[in-house]
Amino acid sequence: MVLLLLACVDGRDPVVLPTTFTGSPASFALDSGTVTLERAELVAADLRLEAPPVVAWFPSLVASARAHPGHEFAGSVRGELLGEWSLDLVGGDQVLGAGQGWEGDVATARFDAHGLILVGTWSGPDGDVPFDIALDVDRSIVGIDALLTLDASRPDGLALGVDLPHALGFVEWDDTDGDGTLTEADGTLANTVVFGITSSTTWALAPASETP
Amino acid sequence: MTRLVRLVPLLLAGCSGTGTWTVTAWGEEYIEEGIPAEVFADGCSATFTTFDVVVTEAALVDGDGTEAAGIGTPVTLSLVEPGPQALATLEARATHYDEARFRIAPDGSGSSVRVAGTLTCGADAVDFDWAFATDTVYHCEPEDLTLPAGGSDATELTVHGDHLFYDGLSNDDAEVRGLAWIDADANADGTLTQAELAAVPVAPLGYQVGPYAEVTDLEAFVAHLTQSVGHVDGEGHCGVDL
Repeated sequence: MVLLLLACVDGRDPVVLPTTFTGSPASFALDSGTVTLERAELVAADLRLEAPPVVAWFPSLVASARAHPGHEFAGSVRGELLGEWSLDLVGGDQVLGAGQGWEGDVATARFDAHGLILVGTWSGPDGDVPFDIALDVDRSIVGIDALLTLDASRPDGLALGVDLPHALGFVEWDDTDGDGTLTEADGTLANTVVFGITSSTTWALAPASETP
Repeated sequence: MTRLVRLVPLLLAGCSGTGTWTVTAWGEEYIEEGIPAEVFADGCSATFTTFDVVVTEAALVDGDGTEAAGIGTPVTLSLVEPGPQALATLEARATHYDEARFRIAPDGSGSSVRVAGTLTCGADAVDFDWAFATDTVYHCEPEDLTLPAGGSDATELTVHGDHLFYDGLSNDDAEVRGLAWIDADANADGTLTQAELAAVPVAPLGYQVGPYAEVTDLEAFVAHLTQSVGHVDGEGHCGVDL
């Protein structure tokens, strides 16, 4: 509906947005050790592209408790790919589908993150420790850098990528319950995983033609 | 349609003469009286004894980006004092204006935002007294800011104290929380210092920093939140230069 209104008001041409996702390497070194992933999956939904923001004014119909943190007030939805996907975070190119957009500049992107599964081995100073993490992230990932221009005369696809070394660089790999396996129940591991996965800079959206 | 609506006051204002721009600032009930427990997702509550902001710029900006009027000297506002407070009364060319621009920044080497008060979570409480030297320019677009010749219009810089307690820097589902502050009082003396805040990493809290990966501790997190407190005319959002 929002897209429909945007198109009607602006008279912009529609743009088809074939979209792919590409995972990270399955093994990588961090400052404190090495991560080797056997399985890394995230259920994601509803990718939206947002135009550069304009200053918004909201009438004072509600009290000050309105949740509106941050500075990056997203602009209008410029394109979207609705649906739900199980992203293989260590897999190769995965087709997500063909989204719809309208010509114009894009500044940021967002999507919803749900179930996350990470299985593998953490190799730290004290040796190898397996991890088996299952989390319901259930948060929106907002403000993903997506500086691109949609142009109907030069159709291009979109490529979503993930930087797992960045995301898992925040994780505290402490087997606090001493059961020999790192899980979401260990100390702050769950929070630090969610922190990294929902960090905007873990993700990037670029024109497919510019992605190696 | 929007442009047409904006043309009407322009036509009414005419092409000559000046009008008066009255600027006020208000911290609303949250800063004057406190933030009640129902606002916090974790049942905490907060009161402020100090909430000072240093406004170094309050300017009226026309459609060409030209400053039509502005304050000449910085003003320090104590927002715990009741009611909207006068910030400036300025004369400017009578016309419609697109932007009211505010800068909250240190005046010299001091702080730009200073907050003191008490956070209470159940039986636990911490006092805090912090100063931040953040420098923030707020580009605000009041709904319809038009100075008629010989008349006046007003703009309010509204400061939202609850933003200091958000658990996210960018996500619009961020919630107001306080328990992490209680836990950050490492020596449990009832006073939470900025040094104690700086010793707390953000990632284990489950907080979100969005694109600000450089914000890794709770002191930096709160400092960043001080750069989101400025609004216009109540709930009007402002673009921000950090």
